[in-house]
Amino acid sequence: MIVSHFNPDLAGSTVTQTTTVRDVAELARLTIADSDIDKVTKEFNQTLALFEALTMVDTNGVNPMVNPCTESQPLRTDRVETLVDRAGLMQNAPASEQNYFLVPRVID
Amino acid sequence: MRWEKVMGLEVHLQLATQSKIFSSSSTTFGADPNNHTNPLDMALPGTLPVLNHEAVTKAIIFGLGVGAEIGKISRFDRKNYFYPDLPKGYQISQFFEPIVKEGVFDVPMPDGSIFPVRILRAHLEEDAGKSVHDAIPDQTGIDLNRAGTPLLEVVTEPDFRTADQVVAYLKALHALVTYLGISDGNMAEGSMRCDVNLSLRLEGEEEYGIRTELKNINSFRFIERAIYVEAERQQDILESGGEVTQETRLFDPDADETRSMRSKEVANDYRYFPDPDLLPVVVDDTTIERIRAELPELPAVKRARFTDQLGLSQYDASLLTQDRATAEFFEAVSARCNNPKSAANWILGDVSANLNKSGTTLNESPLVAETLADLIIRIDDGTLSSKMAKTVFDALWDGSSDVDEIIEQKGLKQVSDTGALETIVNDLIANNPAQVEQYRAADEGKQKKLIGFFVGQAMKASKGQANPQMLNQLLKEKLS
Amino acid sequence: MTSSFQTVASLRSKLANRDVSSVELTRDALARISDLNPELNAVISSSEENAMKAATQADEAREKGNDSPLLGIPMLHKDIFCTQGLPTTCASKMLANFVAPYDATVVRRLDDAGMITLGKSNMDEFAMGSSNETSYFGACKNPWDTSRVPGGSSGGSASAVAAGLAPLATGTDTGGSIRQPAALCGITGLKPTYGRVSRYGMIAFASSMDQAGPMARTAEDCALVLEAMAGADPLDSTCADQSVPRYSSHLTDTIEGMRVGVPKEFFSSDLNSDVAAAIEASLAELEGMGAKLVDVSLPSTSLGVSTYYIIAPAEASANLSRYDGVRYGYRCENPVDLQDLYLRSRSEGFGDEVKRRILVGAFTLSAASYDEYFMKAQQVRRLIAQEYDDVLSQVDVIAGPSAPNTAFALNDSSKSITDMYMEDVFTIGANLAGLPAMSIPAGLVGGLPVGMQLIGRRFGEVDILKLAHQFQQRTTWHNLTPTLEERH
Repeated sequence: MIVSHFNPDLAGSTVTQTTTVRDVAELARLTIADSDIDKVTKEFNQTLALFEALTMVDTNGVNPMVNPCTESQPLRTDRVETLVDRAGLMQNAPASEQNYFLVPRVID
Repeated sequence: MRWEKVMGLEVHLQLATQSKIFSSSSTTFGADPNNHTNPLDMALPGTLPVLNHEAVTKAIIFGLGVGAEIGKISRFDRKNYFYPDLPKGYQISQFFEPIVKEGVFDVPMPDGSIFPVRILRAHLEEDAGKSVHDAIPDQTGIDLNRAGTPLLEVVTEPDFRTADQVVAYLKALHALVTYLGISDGNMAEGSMRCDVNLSLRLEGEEEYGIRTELKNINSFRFIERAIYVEAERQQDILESGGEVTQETRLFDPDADETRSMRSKEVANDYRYFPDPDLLPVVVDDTTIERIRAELPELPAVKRARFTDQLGLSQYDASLLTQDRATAEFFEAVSARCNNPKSAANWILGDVSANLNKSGTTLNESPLVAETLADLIIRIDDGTLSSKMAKTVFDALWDGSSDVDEIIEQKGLKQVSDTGALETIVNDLIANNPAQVEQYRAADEGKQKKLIGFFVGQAMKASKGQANPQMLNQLLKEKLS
Repeated sequence: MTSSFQTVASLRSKLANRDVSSVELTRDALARISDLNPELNAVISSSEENAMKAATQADEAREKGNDSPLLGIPMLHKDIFCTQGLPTTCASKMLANFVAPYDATVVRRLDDAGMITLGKSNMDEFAMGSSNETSYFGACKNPWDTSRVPGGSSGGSASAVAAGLAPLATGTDTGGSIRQPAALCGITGLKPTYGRVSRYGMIAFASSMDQAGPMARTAEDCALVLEAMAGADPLDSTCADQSVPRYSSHLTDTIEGMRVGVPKEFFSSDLNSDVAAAIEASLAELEGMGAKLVDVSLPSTSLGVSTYYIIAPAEASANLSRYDGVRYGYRCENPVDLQDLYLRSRSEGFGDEVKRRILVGAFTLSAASYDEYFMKAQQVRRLIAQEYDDVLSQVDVIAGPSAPNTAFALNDSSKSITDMYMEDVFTIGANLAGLPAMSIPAGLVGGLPVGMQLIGRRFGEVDILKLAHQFQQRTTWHNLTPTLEERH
């Protein structure tokens, strides 16, 4: 991923447009009704304004914190085990047939 | 204008573990839909990934196999996109810090030269499930058996310029992973899948052109063609003044064309970020050294030994070392019969032809190394002619296991007893005075043709079992 | 009703002495739920039949000599924990009909300890909220004043324990979701160290901060229950492989000379002055008990809110991608194609606050914003965690308010979204740093409870529990109960 270096001058002036909000909604597979878009964009910008406080913090050379755990990843023994049978796993399926989950035909 | 192809490869190898990378479901291929699944594979709420030790070990083995640096601390990230065969809506992969870093992999080319390929990285990730389009009318069925199978994605630098190099690399990679026992490398079952990043540039140019990604080419057969077809397409675009679109394309062997996979292209911003459910994978030096000590002899080392110590040609050595089973079979045969060249000829000749015909592998064939060696021993000690040897070989292939027994049963023993041959030759000369006269009168050139008559008659008399070299020798002596 | 407001510890001895049976306790609790829940809406679903069966078994087990401390004691699970065979909704339309085929580790362990699951408690949808108003099943009410919120997201659990529907409920805390409702409802709630309790089967909100914990009447009860909940789990990689102390046997360890840090930033203008006065009185009480108060500073406190509201939605945006209408959960009617299936199932299945956070999360993770927002927030998180570590190297425990105010009114339209986020300003730090923290009753302001927060070192649950327990030996705030009209 090409990621730009953080620029504090730009951050303070962040105002997200409705088009950006629509793009993000598309990424997240959410629809925003035309009647809601202005309200959603306004709330979105309110939230982003809350984040502006961070632009003032000097984080040069600070190692990002992903998780408070300081341990390393435990490793599982390579052993096959079934925790729940297929009937149980598929009991909540909204649409299934012949043990497949069904979705509308996908054309590639 | 001459165009040069610039290619980099991304190969996905399914690692041969018993269970999946983050769950304890079986990885066995070909089960009933959704039967090799656990709550995690279905992405049921509240489920969490736990990393399979064996997947990590196999990734390290691979890294050491290509002489790469092993990431002492590697991490897992989430790659976010929606697709029905991706149950969590993100794939767990290693984007920022892979377990295998840079290395160089020496690829033997058919002409015996070595083509070094720079490995950029290899990272662990989980496979997706399968979308099945032909099981239920108007619907796509989702089968998550494959979801979570451990993959090692091996990424090269854009070092390839010809399709031959690509094919040689893939063959060598296949050989390596089967040697190392980390993947079965079965392309038909998708254990080894290849994406080619291809761009064109004018020869002499430094800068790379815009590339396309050819997805999922799953047989050696199609790779050359796919590359050719896509390069032609790009060349047409560039020569007509157009610009290549950076996109993912699929090779369609039936239509003999590549086409855009638009569905995968919709606004792809994968939003990679470190997976908070998984902690850093720490690999210490002791572990690395222990794994290194247990590595089998690698194909390149074997290849060198086969040419230098056993006297094989580069070509034969390359072929024999393409997979570990063949190489080990060869070594067992060669060691027992003490005739590496003959062992190589048999394996690359009749054995390989029979395997191709039956579509099986060495491990599945009834032939064992010891009996093939015995067969070669019986040729070398003059018991069998090459024609007889073929008969014995066929019997071995049909399930017989004792060479001497076959020789006995079929009465295939070659007559190499001088006394018995002498009797036959003496009888011949006595019974065919006219032909003997004619032979003796002829010049050397004619004699060579005329002797055929005597050989034929002698063979008939010995019911085909006379040792041809000895027979020739004897006839020349007695006729002169 | 004799058992309504009793503690786990007292029920334990009553059960052991055969003063009461589990069947009686369970029947009473179920009756109280059916009586009071219509008013409180603290419980989303109850499981009478299973609970009575389990209670009968518990009584039988006791007759056979089983004397495990939690045997036969009824409780509620926040509806974020998967319970095999019972609905698990996460208070969302998305999972309104979901029945998990497995138990969360927390559920399994408390089951194994012999506890009786009465049902599932209300919460903010997917634990996103500080008022319980985002629940698809409607807002839960605060038993101290039913026109007010119980806090959130574990509002149902807090309301239920405060109203005596159960002596104990589980909660989860990502940014204060155990402590803030515990404070607003006048009960004791403990968020353990990140990694102390398994997250397996607990529906994820923000994976690097989510932590399950007990909500009860006393610190002693929290200690007893945490002993059963905590410990390594092969199904959760982030769950620590650390032995679990017998918390309940350390409650009376001396606190003489214990250093209690009081961060000045916790007494800023964000804090209601009456609440501040109550907390100061409680701090004085701690001093009277032999603890030594130390002025400390956590200058990044206010940055915590910004940091949290970047990281939590980002993680959530990925965690909630699995709700796509394919394998389980809400699916829209007659999808015309795959994209329609995704878009409508998700847009119709999620509530507004959840969608708001998914949007923000997807935005801060996008390639163009990653460095500026997500990476930056992870770096500031490190700085905040270091700040806490530094302070906790000088003091044993940090003390302050759990929430800036007492319970606020339901449907308060004057509160903006970001005002609501400020509810978490004092609690978020412990989540960002992964520290154990609890809220204990510390006064009443205008008839509404105030909670004092105690934050410990990593895996320092013993410190905060013993301080809380001994505080509760000297104060009666935790014994106060709201007045509720019983209808029968």
